[in-house]
Amino acid sequence: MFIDGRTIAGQSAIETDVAIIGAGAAGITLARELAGTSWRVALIESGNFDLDDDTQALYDGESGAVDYPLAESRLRYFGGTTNHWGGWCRPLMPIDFEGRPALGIPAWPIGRADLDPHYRRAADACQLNSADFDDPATWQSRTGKPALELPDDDLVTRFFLYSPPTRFGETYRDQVDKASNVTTYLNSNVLEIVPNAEGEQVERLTIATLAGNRFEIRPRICILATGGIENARLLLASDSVQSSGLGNGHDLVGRYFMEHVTPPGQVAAIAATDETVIPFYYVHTPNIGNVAMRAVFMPSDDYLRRENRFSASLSIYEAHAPGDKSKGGDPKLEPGLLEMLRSMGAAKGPAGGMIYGVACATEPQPLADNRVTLSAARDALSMRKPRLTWRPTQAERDSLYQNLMSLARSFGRWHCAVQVAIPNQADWQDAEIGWGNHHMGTTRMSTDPTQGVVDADCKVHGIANLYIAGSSVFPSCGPVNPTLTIVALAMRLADHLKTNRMQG
Amino acid sequence: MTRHISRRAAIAGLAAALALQLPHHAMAGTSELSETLLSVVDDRRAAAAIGEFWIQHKRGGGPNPASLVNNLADMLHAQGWSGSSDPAELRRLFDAAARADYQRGETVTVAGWQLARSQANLCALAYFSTAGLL
Repeated sequence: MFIDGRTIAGQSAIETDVAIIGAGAAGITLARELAGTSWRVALIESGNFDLDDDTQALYDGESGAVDYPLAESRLRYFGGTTNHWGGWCRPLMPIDFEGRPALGIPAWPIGRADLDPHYRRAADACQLNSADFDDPATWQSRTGKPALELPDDDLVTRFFLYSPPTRFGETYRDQVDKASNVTTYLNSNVLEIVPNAEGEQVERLTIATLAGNRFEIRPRICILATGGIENARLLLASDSVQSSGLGNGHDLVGRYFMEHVTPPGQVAAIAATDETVIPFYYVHTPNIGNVAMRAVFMPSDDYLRRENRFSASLSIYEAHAPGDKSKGGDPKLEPGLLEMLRSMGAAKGPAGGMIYGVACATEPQPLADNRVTLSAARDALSMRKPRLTWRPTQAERDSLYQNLMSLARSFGRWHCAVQVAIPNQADWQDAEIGWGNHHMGTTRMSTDPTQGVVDADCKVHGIANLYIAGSSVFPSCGPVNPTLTIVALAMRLADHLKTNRMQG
Repeated sequence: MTRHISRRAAIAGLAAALALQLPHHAMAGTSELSETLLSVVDDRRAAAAIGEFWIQHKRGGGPNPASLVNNLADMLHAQGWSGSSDPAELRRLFDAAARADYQRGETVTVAGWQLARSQANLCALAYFSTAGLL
């Protein structure tokens, strides 16, 4: 059932078993998982079924260091940011959970094996029609082309699967509507999560609509699922009992913001004398037996450990004939380059060849100073706006450069040449900083309350009935898109609640 | 009055000066050897464009034309070259040399392209040859 919050009488107090704040990938997944249980579930969404400018403006904020588009990088209506996501899916690697202290990357308190069953179900929720992310043999048999095995194994092939992309709001609206125990409150903005006087238990949620009415929801269990910026913002703004905000006893809420830097355009080019060397599924996104897939290059686990580097996802995003100026090719050098490669190849190939553009997403370094705080400015509901201070580090850039040099050494031994388009030992220039609109890490997971905001069950340390869902709990994030992991973690949280809290 | 000398003219001058210091038989041998090495290159002008770009943008100047030929020959000898002028064998040996360069990290940067040193040297040789600097 859907209820427009603007129709609720002012000062109403609604009792519920579980309140889920935010109806994006995590919130809708939780609602679906809790549908059909004996719990009364309240799903609280700021927006309606379509984009509304006034509601979207509640996402406005300030940014420092890098000028970051806080409002444009997310969507505030039913379905959340899945209403414009690109659909790239793959799980984090086991190494991503293990931590690499030399790089300041903490270990997760859970491992990949803990998420594997949920990843398989998350793949279904994202309509991938497969969960074969890591087995090149599978894709060799299904495409008839073996994956590239680069010399030295410094770089290896990994597979992304593509969601249609699933718009969680559209796709699951009927299911959520028909769930008899789930009530979705639209146009309803949570202004504060109010705990008891001791700050150990959430008592109520203060909710307002842009039409002016206010009401409360009183949950037994509260799950915050509003995304990597808003989760931190709402905890920090919930300061009527604890002045530093909820769950912020160790000044961690909002810190360790992470984002995947994706420099605009190509970071490298590969010149190949034989265009059949690189299988088609590295260059395009074919539909293989109803599964949209694509292969990319990523540093191997051994390489990352040995070289102490941040990871990256290197994907081929375009191909052009040598010297094609319309595609940014160099007509003076590229044909000669291909000729030289052909001349020096062990077996002289036919004329032609191809130049491939390479794009990347880089693994971020979790830094305490990259953070979400509250600005002095206020939004239309008098809530303090978020302020994001973020700048990628030179260490991330150095790793990217070295990863590209590994790509050059590996492909060089294959009669190809690689052009590295970023200079060595330089810091990021603003024009080079693009991003994936992935907001992560601001309420990160740790068993130690001095190191993280939530525990391994995604429960906020020190607060008995407050949980967090979404990418804000990621202590690290590899170089891959977060949605699949967000959905898997939400499923895991739902299982935890059903197993451990249903009788409470 | 200030005279501007282009890098190209400077390189030509350097090559000419070095050539004057070499005995005639050495020059003849160098020329013959360079032609043997360049026999693997079908489009010498295209490869020369790479070599020219590298030399003109290389810090500290480009390789010495005469020693370049000997370096390339030494590199092939290290791969087991018997002195044969068979293009197929030369191509195989150049390929092995380039792979070895990449494995050792012996690469140079030409307009951002990461090339094996042996590849860049062959392109430089193509440039010297087409520019008449050998």
